[in-house]
Amino acid sequence: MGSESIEDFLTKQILIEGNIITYRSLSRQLSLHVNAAKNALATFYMKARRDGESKVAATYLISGEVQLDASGSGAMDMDVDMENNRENAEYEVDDAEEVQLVEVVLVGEKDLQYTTSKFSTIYSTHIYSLSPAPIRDMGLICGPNEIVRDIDNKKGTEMEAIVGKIVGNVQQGKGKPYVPPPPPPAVATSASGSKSSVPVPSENRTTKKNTLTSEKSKASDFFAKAKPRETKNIKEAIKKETKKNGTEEYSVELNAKSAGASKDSKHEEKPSKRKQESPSESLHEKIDLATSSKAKGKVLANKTGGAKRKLPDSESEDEGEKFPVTVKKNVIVSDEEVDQPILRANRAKGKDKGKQVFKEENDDVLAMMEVDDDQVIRASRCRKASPEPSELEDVEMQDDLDDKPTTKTRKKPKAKKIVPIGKNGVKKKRVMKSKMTLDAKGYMVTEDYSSYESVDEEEPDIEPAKDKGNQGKGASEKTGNSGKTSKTKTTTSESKGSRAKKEEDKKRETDTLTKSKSARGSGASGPGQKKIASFFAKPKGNK
Amino acid sequence: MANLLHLPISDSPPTRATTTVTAPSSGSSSFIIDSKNKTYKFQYSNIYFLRLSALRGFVQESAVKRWTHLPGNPSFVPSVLEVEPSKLCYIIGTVYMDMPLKPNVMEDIARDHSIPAPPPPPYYYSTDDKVMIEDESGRIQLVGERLKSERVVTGLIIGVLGMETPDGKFEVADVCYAGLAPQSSSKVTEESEGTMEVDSACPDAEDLLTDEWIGVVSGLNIGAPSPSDGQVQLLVEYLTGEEGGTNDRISASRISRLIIVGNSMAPMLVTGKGEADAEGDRSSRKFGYDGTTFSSHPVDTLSGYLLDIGRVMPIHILPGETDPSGTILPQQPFPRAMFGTVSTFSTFTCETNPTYLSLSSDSSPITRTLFLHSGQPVNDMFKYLPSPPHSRLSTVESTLKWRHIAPTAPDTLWCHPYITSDPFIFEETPDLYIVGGQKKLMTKLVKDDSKDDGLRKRCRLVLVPGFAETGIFALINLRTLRVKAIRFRGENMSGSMEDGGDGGP
Repeated sequence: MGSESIEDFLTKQILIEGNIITYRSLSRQLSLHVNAAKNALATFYMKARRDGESKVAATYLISGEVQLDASGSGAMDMDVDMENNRENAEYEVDDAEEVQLVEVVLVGEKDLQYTTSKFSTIYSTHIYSLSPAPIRDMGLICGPNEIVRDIDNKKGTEMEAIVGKIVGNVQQGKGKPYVPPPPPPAVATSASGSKSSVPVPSENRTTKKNTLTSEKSKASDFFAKAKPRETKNIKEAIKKETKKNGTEEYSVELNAKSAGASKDSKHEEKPSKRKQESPSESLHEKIDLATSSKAKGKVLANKTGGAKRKLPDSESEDEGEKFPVTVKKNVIVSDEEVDQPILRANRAKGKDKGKQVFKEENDDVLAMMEVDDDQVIRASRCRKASPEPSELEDVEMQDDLDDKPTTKTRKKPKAKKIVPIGKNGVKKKRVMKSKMTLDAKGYMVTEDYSSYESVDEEEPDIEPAKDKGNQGKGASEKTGNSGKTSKTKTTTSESKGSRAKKEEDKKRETDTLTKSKSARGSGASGPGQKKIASFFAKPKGNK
Repeated sequence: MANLLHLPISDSPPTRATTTVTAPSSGSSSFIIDSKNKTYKFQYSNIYFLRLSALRGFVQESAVKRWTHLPGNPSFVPSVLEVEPSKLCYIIGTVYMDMPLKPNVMEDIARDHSIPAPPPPPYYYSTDDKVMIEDESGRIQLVGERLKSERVVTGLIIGVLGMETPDGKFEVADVCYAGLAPQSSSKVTEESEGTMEVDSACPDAEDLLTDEWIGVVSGLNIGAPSPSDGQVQLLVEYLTGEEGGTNDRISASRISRLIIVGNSMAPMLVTGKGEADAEGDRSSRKFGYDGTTFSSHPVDTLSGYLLDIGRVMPIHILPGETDPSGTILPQQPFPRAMFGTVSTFSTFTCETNPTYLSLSSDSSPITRTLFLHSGQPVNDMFKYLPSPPHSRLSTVESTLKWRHIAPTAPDTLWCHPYITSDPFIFEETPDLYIVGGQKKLMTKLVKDDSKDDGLRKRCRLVLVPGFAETGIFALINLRTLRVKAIRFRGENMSGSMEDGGDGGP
């Protein structure tokens, strides 16, 4: 790096663009050793001074040892508050050792003399930064840091050696490439400012940043170039693509990419040449393939597309054939991309629908409010989500929870039920039994409980054989069975009762409770009242 | 225009000194709370019981040494309630300070909630304080002039010599503590006796160029209303070895690792607004926080600095009082991922607060045990102690003699309800005891030359001040345990710690 170019760079940055240039940002931008950068700043400043240039202000960095009394306690006494005395006492220096103090002071030209006089030994003085105006706020020196970090992030280790960082004992766990996090708003503004001033590295950075997406944008870019020569089909596809990818981000990427590509004349030329080479026949091929592969399945195309898409850029010969394929795939890929927003929209619609339904429900509820408050509330809950009410109601009903979602689909799960096998190797069946006892007050209490009983081999065999579609049959068979013995009768009636209980909840809302009772009554012998009682008692029996 | 020397660009740049983290010695307990211990169902009384049973033996040992030869032949009374009136004896138990100004949960409950609570008092001590000593059997109040000069806070295990007064109190004649815990690296110290002698004789002992140093900083306070970014920037550049002349670069190259003892981020301003609409539109918030009141900016800024430093040296970061971390001690490590790229460095370590750290020098056969915390135990203890006569440094020194890091936990300092052991007990004396979050840089070499057990013990205490307020960055030589300070500041610039004027004498 010649001194000429450094001077040019500094002139442009400081005098024209009005940036703060620190030795660090200079060293990174021009790939200099930090000490060379410090020297360069000094040289430039000296020259500017000689030339009578008043628009440059220097900020110095002095390092050296300071006398202790000038620092330690003196600086701390500035807090003017009531606790001051106590604080001093808390930090009594009595038994403490004195500590050698090295100061690193950032100072403007104005105070340089004064500050220098306070040091007992000065290690070094160098220009920290040059700026169009004297720096009054220390925070300003962080501005150029953005550039430094960008370059450090990008060039990493090689830069460390060039600029003279002292690195040691550091291990980066994984070889992950640095993906700069989205900068916070405040930083972003400053970053953009510095970018504009230093176009070359920042642009590089943006392209790097977009490596992940550049693949895609490259492809689309590719289309943009191919556009005039393509047939309407393709054009439409592109239009679709561009239209539907109307998100800001994407368009920005496109722009950035196209800008980058325009620089890269090679990249630009290749596709156009390819276009010329590949005659219209390839186009037909394209369309054919497009339709066929669409039918094949988009996922596959997408997967392979990622790998093949790269080819057109690197290869030259086979492109005539490969190229159309990739284009086609890209079209599909973009189609897929297009699909997503639509899907999302659908989903959103669905949500809206759901809301509407909910609203209608609410209206129903409102209407029902006039009938009975309690019931209405319950009903709305039941309709919305079936597990919820059971949770809310009683802890004892927990046992039923497992069954509920299955019973929801009516009878199906009955066939699926796992049949436990007893010790004797005979399959078992859950059987409901009822027990009548007299309680302390002399009331008759009917308690229903379930237990496993060994059953014949045939019976369970029949059940699994039943197809899902034959549910009705199975049910009827069951009821048929229930007629056989009194024991099994209670079983079915009880199981029905538990199932019916849910219906019952629903029916309560519509005031058809009595109806349902009677309906159930037809299937079972006992009256509805008994069933409700037995239902609540059921879990006890389980235990 | 100052005479600017032409800075040389050496072909052989200085290489960074390296140290290695070694396995912690058996005496240094871990402060990680794993999932199976992450329960709050236990009572805090367990800690007091554990503490008493763990330290009673040591206190008794030192009490016997100290008091058996006294005239009157004082006897040890194992239970504080069995003290016989007007008979010289000594008892061992846990100190409890009954302080009217100390926050009291009963008062909290009884308080009228329609009136905003009065601000908590900055200090608890008053003339009405009562000191008691208790063990499993009960408690007895301690009185006497001797006690006033003694530094006692709630939760200490002490032995007191004296006799019961007619009104049932205990008149204290002398107090004793457990004393410094044994030091694991004592043997190594014997080997390097020579250097240690020099070190203790004059603090300006020659630091060899091959010595490894460690850098310690506390209170970066990133995200504060008045930012100190400029100072931090200078620090970062110093650490990377880019700043200053040859001298600075060489001294920077000897810094083998950076330890951040707490308060890296400024406390978040609680506006109250965030809570108001917490129940409101949750969907409008992207990550569960309100974008108008919350900013991830401080973390991003800190991560940026950490990455700059992390590229050149290993970093250990401890959470502190103002950091986004749990309040109760031990504070658990920051989730690494919150620091972005620097978390991919295996040499970037998030530590608990407090924590032990074992470092071995790569150039000489030295291993040092470091004990670090971010200052909460000391800050809390100081609410109990009138100052003067007590100073921060001497209090930290006392914690070594008490063999307890944070005696005021769990009384006024919140801590985890430990059930099996009290990890805050010093089972061994560290070589380096670093406390962050203080107001001034202070250091002292504590020595115990009473060669009773044939081993000398010494420990370097370092109080590290907040960087944002003081600009001070502490350097400690691992071999000589010497401390050096570097202060970063701007002259006549805002955003520096000397906003109000210059810090001249």
